[in-house]
Amino acid sequence: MPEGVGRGATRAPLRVGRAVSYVVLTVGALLMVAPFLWQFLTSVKSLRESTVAPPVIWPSTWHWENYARIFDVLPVETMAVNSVLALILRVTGQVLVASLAAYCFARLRFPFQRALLTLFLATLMVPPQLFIIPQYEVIRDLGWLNTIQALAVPGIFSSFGMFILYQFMRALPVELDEAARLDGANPWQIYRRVILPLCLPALAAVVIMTSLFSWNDLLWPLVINTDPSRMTLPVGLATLQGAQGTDYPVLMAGSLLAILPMVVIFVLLQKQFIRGIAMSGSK
Amino acid sequence: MSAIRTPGGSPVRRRPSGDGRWAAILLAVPLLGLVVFYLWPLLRTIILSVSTGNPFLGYEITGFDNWVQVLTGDELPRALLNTLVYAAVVLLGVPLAMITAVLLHQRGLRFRGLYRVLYFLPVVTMPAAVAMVWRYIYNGDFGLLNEVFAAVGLPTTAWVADPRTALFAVAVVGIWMGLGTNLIILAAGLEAIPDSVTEAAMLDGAGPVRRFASITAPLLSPSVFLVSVLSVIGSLQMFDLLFVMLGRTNPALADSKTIVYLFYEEAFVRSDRPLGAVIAIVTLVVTLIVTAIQFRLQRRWVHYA
Amino acid sequence: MKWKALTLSGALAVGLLAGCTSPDAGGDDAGSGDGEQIELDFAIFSPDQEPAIQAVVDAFEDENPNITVNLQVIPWVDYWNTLLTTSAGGTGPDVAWMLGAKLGPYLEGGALLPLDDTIADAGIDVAGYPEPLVALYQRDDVTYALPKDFDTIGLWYNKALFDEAGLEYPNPDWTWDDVISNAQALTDPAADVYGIGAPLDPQATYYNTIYQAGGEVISADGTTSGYDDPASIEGIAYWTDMINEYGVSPDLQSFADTESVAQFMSGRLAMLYTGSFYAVRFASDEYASANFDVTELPAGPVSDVTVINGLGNVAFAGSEHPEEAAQLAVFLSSPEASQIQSDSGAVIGSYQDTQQAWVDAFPQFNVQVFLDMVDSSVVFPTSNNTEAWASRESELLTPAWTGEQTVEEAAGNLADAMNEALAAEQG
Repeated sequence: MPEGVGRGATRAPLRVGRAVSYVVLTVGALLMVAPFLWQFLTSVKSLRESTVAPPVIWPSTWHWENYARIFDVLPVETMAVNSVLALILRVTGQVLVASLAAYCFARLRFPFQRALLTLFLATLMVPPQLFIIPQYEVIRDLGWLNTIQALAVPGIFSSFGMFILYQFMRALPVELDEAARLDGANPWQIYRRVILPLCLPALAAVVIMTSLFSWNDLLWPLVINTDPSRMTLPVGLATLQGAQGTDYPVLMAGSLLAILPMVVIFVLLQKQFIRGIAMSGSK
Repeated sequence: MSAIRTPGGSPVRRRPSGDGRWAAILLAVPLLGLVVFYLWPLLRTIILSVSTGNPFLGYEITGFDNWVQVLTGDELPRALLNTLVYAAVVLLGVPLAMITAVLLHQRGLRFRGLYRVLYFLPVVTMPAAVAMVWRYIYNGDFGLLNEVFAAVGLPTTAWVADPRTALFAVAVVGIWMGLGTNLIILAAGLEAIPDSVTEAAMLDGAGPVRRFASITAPLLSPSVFLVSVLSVIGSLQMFDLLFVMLGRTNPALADSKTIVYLFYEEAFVRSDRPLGAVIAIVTLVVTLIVTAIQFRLQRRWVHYA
Repeated sequence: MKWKALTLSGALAVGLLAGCTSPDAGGDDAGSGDGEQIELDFAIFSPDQEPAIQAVVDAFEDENPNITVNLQVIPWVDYWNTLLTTSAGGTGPDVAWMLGAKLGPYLEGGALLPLDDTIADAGIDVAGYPEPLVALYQRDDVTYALPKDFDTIGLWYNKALFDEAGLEYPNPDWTWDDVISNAQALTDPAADVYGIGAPLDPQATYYNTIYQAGGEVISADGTTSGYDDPASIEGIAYWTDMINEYGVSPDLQSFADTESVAQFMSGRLAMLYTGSFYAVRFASDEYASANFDVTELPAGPVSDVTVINGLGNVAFAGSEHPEEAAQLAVFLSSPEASQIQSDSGAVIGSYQDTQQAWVDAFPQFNVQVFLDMVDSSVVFPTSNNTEAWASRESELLTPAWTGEQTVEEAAGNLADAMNEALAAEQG
């Protein structure tokens, strides 16, 4: 955005205000990041330095090998592949399911619409722990235990994506559908060719948030996948927390490595992400 | 944004009615998932809540004894209160996010992308690892926070082990973890306010504070509402942070237990699934009521342009 | 277009899925031997013990070439939850680690295989295990697990802090009074040093002293709480007095912030009642290895008993190969397995005369005391549904530790809650 639009006599106070803004934002950012710095420092400490009281802030020697040890104690490659596959499947499925549902509720008119919409949205209020046992039983009865698809559902059917996309779609002008209908398009074609291509920003938001949910999920993968070859990253990291003592440096190193891909996804998609939420949020 | 408003009030009004068949086709898969993974488990939970038995031998419907036991016990009211207090404290993160969003929204601000990434970082993180870090910071004997507070003459304590402070200390971490999401949604809301509106106010001689109070805040209120609703729903589901930060033998646990924590204890530690099922349903009902109240109240303060 | 990329990745994922087969499909493969090849899943929770357990599993596979064992390490934080859910759902492991306190729902549900015949077939003399631990896994004279290892509690102390204070090290003749008087002499608030740690930890602290005072946690028939017994109250007050009366231990908040073992290892506590299971951690730490040692628990008013506990290996009735699962469970606790585990130094093997290797692994500590104390040990108290009351212990005893309630009040409340839970068990 070009600078200087609408600036006039208020130049001096603006400059002071700007300086204050930078200070406040930077202090805030430091507070947000400080625990990660601590996490990083812990990840290069020796085991003793990580648990000693009072805590050592600066490691006396830098144990970079903690990062290498992750790969010794855990099958990182397998875990990463499982996490990525589960993520791709869950994100793809969620985008499909959520956009279909959102389209129906935002652009079509049918019986019981309001009741159904409420039902879908109500599932947002279910804490994930609550239904874990009955959901596990469903997966078991499907014969899906220890599979990648078991990791992805029930997340695929979360109403989160529908909520975002519904808000976005209902803000699109009605004329789009009408014009397409006059051209003889049916609702499926309108969804595919007209509405969906316009929803890319909102889809970016759904992709980011669903990726996050999938990547960090712990409780669910634990119950449905006990086969070590189907272990995901958070499960592997959790095995490092023992009944008697935890190897904190390795745990911290592992969790830092594990969040990197998510940070990259956010950095790459953040503009889309914000635009997606902005347009769905603008009513 | 009008979060959950009726389709009748939506902009799509002049369509031919009778999309029923198409809706049935397109909604088939989402609806199937909803039934299989949410409604069916809900039904199972409801049945379980009036049953007794053993996880291996199965359960039989025996009546409302479990409900009587949970509703007359002293653990549930306490956990409910703790949960609501927690949710209320975490809600303070919304004004914080608003201030940050407004500061970040200033035109010509440098490093905006960088700031956004830094503020979003806690959202990305794995709670178990970061909760450990916060435990260090809160440590009563040699924690960073006590050192800072002692230096400036503020009171010190064992923040997550003191029953008076533990819930609030955890809530601060909740705010920290949620700030990024709130910020992004509010930033998006600000972006959607047309520049022409604020510029017009500026030409009328309105200062920054008045501009914020009379223009930005009302136009932003739908986003603030969304953020508040999501924050409260998230708070009512809080479990991980408490579990990792307090541990099992903490003198503050009784005064900090949330409903989902109680559910975990009953269903997974004591293996009493019927009692867990009762708590699960109570949790859902409470969330529904609190959310409904928020939607009621929104009429008073949320302005849809 | 981005959308195309998305559908493409979707197609990719679906393609990959087609390649994923359902679980447990390995049973039909023809084995190298004459019989059919059998796969068994075996769940444990300790990554530290994994190498030793893998060695035991290898030995089992050598003896039984037609059986393949998949060792699964489930994270400790969710081990019991996962085990209960999956085994109740019929998809759990064939064999798993079990604790006496967790046994209840499994026994009640008939989920475990009786092992007596398999034990007899293997020619194992049950008298070689610590007797109370064998009983821990028996109900109505049926054995559901043999102990694979055991742990007892000792009085660990920091020699350097005793030297500084000019005090003699603790010896096996010590009584409670010796502990208190020495702890007072060792406590130095200026140096932030405490004589002893008094955490609210059943196995390491107050269970031991309840029995040493002549009290009990639960009646012998498992139907009533012993918490309101004056002797039990005395056993608890021993610890709460250390904090609230003598000020020789940090308070409960401090232990919630920093676990007692970490405080001990940092040189803040001169003494700590804790288990043999920490020998490995102390030995691998330079400071602890050089300065720590251990002796038998000091005698209370009635005795100097220690609580003994140990993991067992159970086989599940739902296993597709119950016979082999029972064989594996028994082998994992056999004298041979006991020897392999002791050799690893990670835990004390449960079988007599296999433990010397474990003692030898820690020449710097007098860990022989952990074996000597077995003869005067009481088993970790359990009932049919232990967690129903054990999960309330720390919450209801906390007010006694913080001084908000007298020990009589807190223990009385706990006894009430426990009796209620025990009555529900019977009902």
